[in-house]
Amino acid sequence: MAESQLNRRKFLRNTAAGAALLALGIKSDSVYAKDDLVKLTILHTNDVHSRIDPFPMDGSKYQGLGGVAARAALIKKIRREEKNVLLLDAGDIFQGTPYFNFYGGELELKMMSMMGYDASIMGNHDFDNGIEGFHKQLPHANFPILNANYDFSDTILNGKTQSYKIFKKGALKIGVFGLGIELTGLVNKQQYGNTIYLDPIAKALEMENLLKNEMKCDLVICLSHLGFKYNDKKVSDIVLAQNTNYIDLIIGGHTHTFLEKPESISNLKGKETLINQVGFAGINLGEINFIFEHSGSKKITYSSVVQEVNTIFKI
Amino acid sequence: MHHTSSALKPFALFSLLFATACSPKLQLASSEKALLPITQDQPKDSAILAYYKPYKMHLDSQMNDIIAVSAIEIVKGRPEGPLNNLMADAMYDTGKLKNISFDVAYTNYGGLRISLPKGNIPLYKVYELMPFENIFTTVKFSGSDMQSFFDYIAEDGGDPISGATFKIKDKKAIDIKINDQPFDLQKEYILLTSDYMANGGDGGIIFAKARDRKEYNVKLRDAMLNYLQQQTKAGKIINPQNDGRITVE
Repeated sequence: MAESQLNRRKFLRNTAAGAALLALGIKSDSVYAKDDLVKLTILHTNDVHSRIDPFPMDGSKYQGLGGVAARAALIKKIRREEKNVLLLDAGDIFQGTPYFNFYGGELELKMMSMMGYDASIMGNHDFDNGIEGFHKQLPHANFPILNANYDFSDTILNGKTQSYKIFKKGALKIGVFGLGIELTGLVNKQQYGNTIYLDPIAKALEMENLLKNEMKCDLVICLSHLGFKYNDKKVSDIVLAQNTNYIDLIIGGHTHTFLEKPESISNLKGKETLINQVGFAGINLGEINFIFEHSGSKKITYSSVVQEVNTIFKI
Repeated sequence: MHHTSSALKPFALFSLLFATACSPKLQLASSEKALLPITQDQPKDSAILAYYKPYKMHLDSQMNDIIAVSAIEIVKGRPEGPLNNLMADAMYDTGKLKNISFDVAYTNYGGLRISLPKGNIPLYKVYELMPFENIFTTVKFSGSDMQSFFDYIAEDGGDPISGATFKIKDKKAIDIKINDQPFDLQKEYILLTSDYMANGGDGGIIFAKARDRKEYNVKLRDAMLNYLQQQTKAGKIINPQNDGRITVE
């Protein structure tokens, strides 16, 4: 609690809003009580890979880190402190510990449901027991699986996933859609069956237009299992950010990339798209706070209000 | 949600800084990020712990058996690594024990998911190393396709193999020897691998050229397990090493 207050103060001090408020003698802790500023907290994981227990204390690199019970406690604590929280996962929920070999992913989805995940997507390893294996465990998930670029219509998953979901948090509308990686050459055909992989960039352009321009979302988030960056031309989160217009945040996975801070990419509109990925195995929980203000009537042309103000690490 | 209350006056002033006016529409103004490591000294959620305890107890009752003891931490590497060699040798040995006909054992680097610890190796570590249910599969390559297969390994910088040695030069395989014999482009060779690779997994498009595919009811994980258990039975502490089977020129 004390740490959080400290960080909040730090954060406010480092924002334009914080500086202005302090200059005016306004106490920072009262800021979020006002209607003018709305804070949205995005919490996220990726590639948790069936890591239910923390890594054992055996001298290995990640000993003592991770584990659902500690993650759940941290999420609960943040939910107690923050009004508007979204908890998201970027896929590869399954495979990596005997929990998956013995229970087929049941416990992973039950734990995520208990933690209150708002959405996840399918990573390549979520196909490891075949589409049937994933379908069988789906009843244990009380959150939607978002995948815009896998056409499941000729599979048992038809109608069991959705392309996007719009979340309402207070006055905010947040549009979240999901993108999966190309399966051919990565996952065997017998696992993915008649799933059809659709071009992620084309699908992203369609999704962002729908969410931003038609549904009027305040924030557009892409949950991606494309991977952070590749040496060749393979589509990645970086490529995605460079070739789209309205995505505010890409929460990535697949490459198990430990980003110390989100990557900032200038998108097609010259605005900022953030990409974040927090390693794997539930070692870290990512947290990104967006501050919104009431502004922007149709007469105002000023639009570059997305500002990366500060980065605070609680390492 | 309009700027009507007097308590909000300072915010109207603040808004001027951004040259914005009142509107119900929300605009993104700023963002902050934090990385929150999940560490062992953090509080645990008791409901979560209680919920998964029966699952954990069931696994712990069978997954904590010590399978082998290692002199070193066994890590993977390129062009070769102790873990690569251990895995491929375990496949080779098990394949021969099962009287499977093949020349070279191979699996993909990405399939080795964790390192094995120095000292006691409990059963769950073998599951975490090789969590997949992949089974032994043999395929036959012509001499020239076998060369392309080695080039595929060379392109990625080296994969786990046993029964062959070669050098990597300009991302191609040269000086290939199969079981100590010079590689013969006119010969056919049989490769022992996983069904995943035989299906063309991990970018292995060369496997489209493979013929005479045969599957065996032997999981790669069980091959590793049996190999480790035999070493332990023989009173050996395992100590896999790099032995120069793949070098970079």
